Amino acid sequence: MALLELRNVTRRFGDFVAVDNVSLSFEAGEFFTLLGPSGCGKTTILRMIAGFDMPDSGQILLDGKDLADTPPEQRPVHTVFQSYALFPHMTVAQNIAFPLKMARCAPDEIRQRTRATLDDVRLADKAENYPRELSGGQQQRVALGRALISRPRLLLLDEPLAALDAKLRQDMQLELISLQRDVGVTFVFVTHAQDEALALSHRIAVINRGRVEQVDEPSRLYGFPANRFVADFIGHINMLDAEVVEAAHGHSRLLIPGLGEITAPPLAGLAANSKGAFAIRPEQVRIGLHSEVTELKNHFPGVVRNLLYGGDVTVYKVQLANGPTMEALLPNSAPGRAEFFEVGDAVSVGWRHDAGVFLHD
Amino acid sequence: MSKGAGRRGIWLWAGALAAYAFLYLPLVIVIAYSFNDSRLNAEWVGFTWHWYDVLLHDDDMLAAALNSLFIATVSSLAATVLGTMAGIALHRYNMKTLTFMVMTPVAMPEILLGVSLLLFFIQVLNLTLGMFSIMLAHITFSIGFVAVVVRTSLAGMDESMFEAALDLGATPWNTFRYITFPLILPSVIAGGLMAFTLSLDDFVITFFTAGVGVSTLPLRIYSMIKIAVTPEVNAVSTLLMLLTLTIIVLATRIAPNLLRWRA
Amino acid sequence: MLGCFCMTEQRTRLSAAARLTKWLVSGPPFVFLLLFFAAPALIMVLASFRYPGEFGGLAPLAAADPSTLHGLTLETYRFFFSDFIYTEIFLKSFLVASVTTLICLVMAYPLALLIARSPSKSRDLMVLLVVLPFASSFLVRVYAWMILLGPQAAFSLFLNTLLGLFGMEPVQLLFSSFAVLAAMVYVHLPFMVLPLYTNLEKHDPALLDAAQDLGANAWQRFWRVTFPLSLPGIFSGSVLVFIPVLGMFAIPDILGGTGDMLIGNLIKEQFLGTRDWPFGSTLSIMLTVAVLACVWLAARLGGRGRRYV
Repeated sequence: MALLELRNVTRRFGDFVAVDNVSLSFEAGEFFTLLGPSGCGKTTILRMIAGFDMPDSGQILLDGKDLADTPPEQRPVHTVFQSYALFPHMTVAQNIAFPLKMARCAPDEIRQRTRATLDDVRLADKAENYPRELSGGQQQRVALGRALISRPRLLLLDEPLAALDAKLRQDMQLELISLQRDVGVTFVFVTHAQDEALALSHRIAVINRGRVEQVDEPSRLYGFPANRFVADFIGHINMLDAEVVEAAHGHSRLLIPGLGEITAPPLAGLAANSKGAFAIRPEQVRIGLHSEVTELKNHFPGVVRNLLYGGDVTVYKVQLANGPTMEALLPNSAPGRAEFFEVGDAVSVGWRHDAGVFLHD
Repeated sequence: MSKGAGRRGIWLWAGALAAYAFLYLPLVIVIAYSFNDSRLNAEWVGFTWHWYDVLLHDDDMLAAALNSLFIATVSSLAATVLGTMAGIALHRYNMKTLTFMVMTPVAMPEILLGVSLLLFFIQVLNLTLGMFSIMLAHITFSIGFVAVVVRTSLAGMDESMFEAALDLGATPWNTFRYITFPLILPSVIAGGLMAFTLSLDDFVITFFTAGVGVSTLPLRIYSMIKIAVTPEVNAVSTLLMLLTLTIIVLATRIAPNLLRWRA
Repeated sequence: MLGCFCMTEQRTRLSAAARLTKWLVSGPPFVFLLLFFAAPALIMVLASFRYPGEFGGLAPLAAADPSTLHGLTLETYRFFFSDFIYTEIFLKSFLVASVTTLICLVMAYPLALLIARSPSKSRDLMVLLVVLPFASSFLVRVYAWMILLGPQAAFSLFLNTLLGLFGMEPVQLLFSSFAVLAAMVYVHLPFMVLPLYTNLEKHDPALLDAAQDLGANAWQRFWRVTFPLSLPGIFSGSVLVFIPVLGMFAIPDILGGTGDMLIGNLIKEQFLGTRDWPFGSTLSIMLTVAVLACVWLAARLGGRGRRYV
């Protein structure tokens, strides 16, 4: 049995449907992320799990038991808020000890467990400081410690890294991963940053306009998106309108306006003339001189229209003859300007016969 | 400050300084003449404590002072409790009627409240006007003041703090006890102190709800002004000013946000 | 905070326990104000439709002896419009309120501007200095003007000497419209300063730099950038001055002459002097309507000013 289950949960605000018939299940010990653009309903889902909001229909079950009549203070679920929500009039130690105090634990036990948690989040030397004296990263660790000290079944994190700068973010991401692994508590993480979701999670649910688009582990989400939205939302992708010509054993053939026919991975049970999109990641698109790409099943000539130098990679926007523009990624494996193309260069792009996915509309 | 502020800056400073002088000059004169050894508020004769001496032996004045202090204490305590509850309710819930009833006594001309209460006390409650009626009137207009102060302080707080408390296992009562109350306490105290001074200084509403038997300091000052002005009025005014000044400065020390006006 | 609920713009769903908390918290002040604010107001509305009692106060609604006055009537409203003097007093009050507001605006603006442009540490002190005169009782502040404008006071002597030089009659400053106006401005000045400074404080200094960069001189920068942006503050301050002045009675009562009666004095006369309570109530109702009209007007106009921001 899953640890937490959402069954057909719907939440409306007037005419606006924030959460639309969502069903999800969370396993014990996993790092699960709700990923989606702003306003997609992921925070509303989180708040309903925490108990700050109640679904209009559907159920939320913890260990099989409906949480409907349980107020937030009685749920074994704790939240790390986006603003950290630390109590300014209490010290770090008092903040962290707060849940135990509310649970009426013995003073000795409180002292001991607080000290242990302070060590876990590496803030033992800041125990008597006040939140305003701490940096953003430190405040967040206090929030984490405070939420974990009473050993909840589930930890909810509402975009906790949003306020941190890039370098600190990365450090905190690594910390979160190890913390979750060490403590073993189920994390339900909400974010709109897809790179963060990919880095941290065991599984991700992509949410759009209150609906779950796809639930999968990161690499499958990245490599095999279920529809246009997921493909576009996660990472960069080339999306070309396509029509099925034939779906045979071992491969399929797609017709792309302006390009002609290409060979694509096998499709299960789709009739000819089905319309959709062919999606392929820029790193799967090889760019080079004509001779370098002819061995690939799909190759086309084009002209470099634009390029974005990124230090580690360069992204080329290539306009294919008579056709669409595609992005191709080239790692800058050699320092300096070796193997570089300039705007206006005649190049060819190509990809393997089993690269990319067809997304049926 | 923009460039070329030099010349415009002079005009600005002059205008501002003139305004400050305008605000303080009359009060300085009152204080100065309270030490003036002359029956008339005309020209300076010499320094004396005489008028303060008269004041301390004026039984009517002392009785009025005692009344004022008593009324101010009781009404500010009640207004603080009710006003804090109103401030919390106004911040937390969207209650239009309560908002209207809390804010209007503060915004309307005082005479309307005074007159309607007079009507109400006599006609409906058949209440003899006196200490009790004054206290009820003072509480009514002070509630709004305390409520605004408390609400403003709540509005400036991170909302998720209260949710966090619940989330971590605090019951609603414990959330109030350990989180909300300690955080609004400075504003509550400051609001209470301000309510105290409002009650102490009030003239218009007290004028209508006091009846015949009871006098407060402002009422006493008023009758002295209307009947016969003596520098004793200057003395009592100076002392009253000193008292409310101390309280206001204390209040702004406790809650610096008091001065951040939110209309 | 208290109870389980969702803070969204659109709806709040409370559990039963949270609903109870809501009524426990809002109940006591609600009941108190219902009793001592709303009820008196309603009583006053009702009273304006009744006859005056034989010895003052109100006549009963139902009388044993049918020959005595009783019941409801529009008499008081008719009475108000029967003699122009009452309307005249209303108009005079509006005039005084308008002039006071204008003078307050002109005096307060430089001060508010200075405070808004000062570094934040001195700003709090400067605001405190504006508020402190408020620490004295309202009466004391009015009384101070009695001294200032007294016949033997320096200012009067100076003015009269000056007038004497021009061969003009000496003027009595006290118990005149001038005294009333001066005190009105004096008492209400802080109410204009605070909203103005709050508004001016929020102005982006870069706007003025941009204007200067594009060729505007000091006056143009003020008139075309600062002033329009400060309109919401001007409206707030004006409302906070205009409305209390409209209902003021103490200042004309203490500092005014016989011809300086305003609405407030009239109301006071009815309730404590002639004891014609119905008429007093009618006047109060009309004052209330005037105040509400002003608030509504200010909200409309002030909203328009917001378009600039």
